[in-house]
Amino acid sequence: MSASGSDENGTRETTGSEASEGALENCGSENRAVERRKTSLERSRTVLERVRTEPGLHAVAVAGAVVLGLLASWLHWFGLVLGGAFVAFVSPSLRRGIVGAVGFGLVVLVVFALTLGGSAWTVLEMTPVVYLVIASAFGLPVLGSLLRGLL
Amino acid sequence: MPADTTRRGVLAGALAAGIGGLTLTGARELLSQFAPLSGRAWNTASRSLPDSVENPYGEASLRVDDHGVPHVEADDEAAAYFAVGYVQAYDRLFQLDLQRRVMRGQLSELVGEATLDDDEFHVRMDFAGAAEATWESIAETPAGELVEAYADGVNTVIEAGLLPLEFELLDYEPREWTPADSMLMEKQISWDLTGNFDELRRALVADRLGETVADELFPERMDHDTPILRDAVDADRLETDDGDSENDNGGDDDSDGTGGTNGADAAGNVGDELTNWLSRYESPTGVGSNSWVVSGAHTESGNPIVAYDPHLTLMTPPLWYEQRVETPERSVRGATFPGVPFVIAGANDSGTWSFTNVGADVLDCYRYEIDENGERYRYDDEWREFDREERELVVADGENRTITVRKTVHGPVLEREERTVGVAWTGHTATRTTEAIYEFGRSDGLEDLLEATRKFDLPTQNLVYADVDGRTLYYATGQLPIRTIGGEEVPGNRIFDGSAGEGEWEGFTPFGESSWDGFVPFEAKPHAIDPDVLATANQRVVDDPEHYVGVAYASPYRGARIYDRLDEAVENGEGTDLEFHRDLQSDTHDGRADQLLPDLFDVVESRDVTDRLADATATLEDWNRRMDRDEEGALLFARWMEQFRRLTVEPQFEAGDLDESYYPGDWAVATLSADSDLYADRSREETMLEALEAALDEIDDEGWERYGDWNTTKPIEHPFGVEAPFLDYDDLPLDGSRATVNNYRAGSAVGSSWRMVVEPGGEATAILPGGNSGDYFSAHYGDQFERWIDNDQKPMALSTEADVTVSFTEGSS
Repeated sequence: MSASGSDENGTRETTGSEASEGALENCGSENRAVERRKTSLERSRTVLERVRTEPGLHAVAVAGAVVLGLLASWLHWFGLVLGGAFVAFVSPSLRRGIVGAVGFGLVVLVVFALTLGGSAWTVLEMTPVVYLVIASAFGLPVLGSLLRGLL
Repeated sequence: MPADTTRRGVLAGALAAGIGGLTLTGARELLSQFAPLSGRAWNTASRSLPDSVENPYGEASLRVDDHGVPHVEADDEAAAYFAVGYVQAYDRLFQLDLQRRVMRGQLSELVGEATLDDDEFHVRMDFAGAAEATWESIAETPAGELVEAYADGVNTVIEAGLLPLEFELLDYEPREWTPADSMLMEKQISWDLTGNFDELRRALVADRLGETVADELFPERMDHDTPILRDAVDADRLETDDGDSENDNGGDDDSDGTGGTNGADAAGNVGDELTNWLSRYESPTGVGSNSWVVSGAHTESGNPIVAYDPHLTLMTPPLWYEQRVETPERSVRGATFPGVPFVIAGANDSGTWSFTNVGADVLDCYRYEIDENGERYRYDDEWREFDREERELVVADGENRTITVRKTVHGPVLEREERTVGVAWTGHTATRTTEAIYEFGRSDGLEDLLEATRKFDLPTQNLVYADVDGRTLYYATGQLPIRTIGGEEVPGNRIFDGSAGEGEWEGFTPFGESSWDGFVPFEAKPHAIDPDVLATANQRVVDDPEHYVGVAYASPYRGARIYDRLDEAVENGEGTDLEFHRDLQSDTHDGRADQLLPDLFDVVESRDVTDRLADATATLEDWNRRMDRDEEGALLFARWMEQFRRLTVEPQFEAGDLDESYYPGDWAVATLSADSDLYADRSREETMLEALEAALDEIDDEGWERYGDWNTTKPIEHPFGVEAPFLDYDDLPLDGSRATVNNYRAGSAVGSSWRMVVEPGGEATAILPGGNSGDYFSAHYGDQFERWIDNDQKPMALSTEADVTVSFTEGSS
């Protein structure tokens, strides 16, 4: 069997040097992809860093996180966890993220009270249910905000 | 780095544990219900009536006034009652569905095994079958058409998903409402008022304690002289079929309920297991009412006045629902039970009417000779198969149970621990009460009302009426059975031998249409036409009735007090006004104190008692005998009375294995002779003193200071008040006792479930114990509650200034 040529079916066999070249090319493209990814990651990190630290960008990001969190909370209670996670994700530190999640919980309660209109006072009288309402408005976002400690 | 990894690990663990805990435990369901923004419960918080609804029966308008009372107006009655169904369902749909489930034996389907016994009772009694028979008989009548329109209105709310909070909390949707369900509501309230197994209970007491004690504690006739139709009632009577017209209230002494009862034998056949079980489903203790009428001769305006307050179960939301319906024929306003289209007690532009419970005996129990296999019963000299039907009880989170419902020629058969009793109840057949109350609303004067009253088959009620022409009326409604043994008329307070055909009701067809041929003729029932002053408070109707009526009458305390105050006003010659009658409704004078306290004072005076007892006696002597919330004496008396009753009967009842539910009423205890066998081991005097010590100990232990510390609204609960206490009304002190005109039983949450005072054609006022809406988020959920406590009634006018809330437009909804 030659190192190079065609077999009976006309399929071209690969020579050792070609294989090495191909491997190098593959390796090169993988490296490039890794590089690209690294670059992209670094860029993302940079953007995230800026979002987390530059006041203007940070404010926009928090607003976006709150809106997304509210939408999610409107659909399902797990949205409160996600809302807290979103807000914390754009916070400069875990500690600030937890504070942000508490703030998100406050926003949730205000929006909730507004949606209830005249029934808001009635809900306040719904003990012990109202305790659950308040605890979940703060507790679930704070739970979600713990994600900030991992990212 | 390792520290950072550890920190991340801890955080990841906390996150995972938190999310896992929330999603895999009961917290998930709670959050699904109550999480802010997404919780199902909040869907109902923003619920509101739409501006416009299509009505297949035609145009109508709905106005809701400042007290949450709906005012429906329409040119066509069916269009109006579609709107009534719509607004009742909007306000009280959970109540409708819950009542229906109770009566159909479908509670366990919602709440699980805890209510299986209740469901079994209701399925075995086949109230649903009786409601179906009733619907079949009235479907083609004018009232039937309106009941269908009403049901369509209810179903429009269900289909639109306008469900109140309770459905979200329990996470289910109601089934379609049917006209038969509305008939079931009639059966329910009738059962609450007339369903009692007194003969079984008395037989058990007689078996355990002897006939003498049973006679003392459960007398067939209480010794008092203030029946409803007392001698002083000056009134006319209808002519009977034989042409007699009587102006007295005389009757046949032989048929006044004093016959023998064969109690011990009967108890042997029925047993305590069955009796105890059935006792759980009797009328709630204390169910009764006040109503009275004075003619125009005794009012400032010269028009008659009717005052009414039914004492039924107090709950959240209230049992009653107020509504007004105006059609070209008539404008009618008053109270009804949610699920019933028509005003039951109220007023139209011609007159006003009210109902209190008679206490008539319209339920009989039969024992049978049953074969060894328990499959056949002896009747009419032959063995008959029981009618059988397999029924499945659906159980939430449990195994369904199948039971065999059995019936005899008399009605349903109830069984426990191999003991069997057959039951005949006048509600177990087609009844025309729905037609009657519809016609009451359309009535134009006393003659119209009398004609409608002929159809009032169930329940047995003291009807009190007055109209703009100055006419007044009392009539005992409802079909009264006549029982015979060997051709002799006998009272019904006994257990009959069903196999021998004893005590059968001629003209009665269970679960079919009855002719009522063998029942007391309409003209022979107790009544008074154009009475001057007449008061009903569930006391004995008449001393000597022409036919047996019953023995389950209330103690005469309220009746006597009402008559005393009305007599006083008449004697003084002062014309009464609505305020006078509202004040009488609020009367808290307790006749038990008049009866018993002098004896207690004598005992204390004759003995060397401790300072503690002497002080307590001084408090009672200074007390004005009114059961007012701020009174210390009222608290002391109420608790002393309870202890005196307990200490009087407890020793023998405990020995006889009879619990508190078998204790006699206050009147029996108050009038019990000091020579009674019950005082053999401890004299009446010693019992009184011991009761005072016990009452003081109890008051000290509980830390009560005033009557209102104990006598509170706490027992007035929502069916889910334990699980969701916010649904209950506030816990507030209030006046009244079980023996006062202002009636309240803290023990069983029974009291004035609706108060109204009406001058036909003039002013009218009313109040509910809570609010008209059953929607927790409504401003009318409990807006009348504190006013009810003070009997501060609101107007009950036949018009409103409110804007249109909902326009019903013609179209297929």
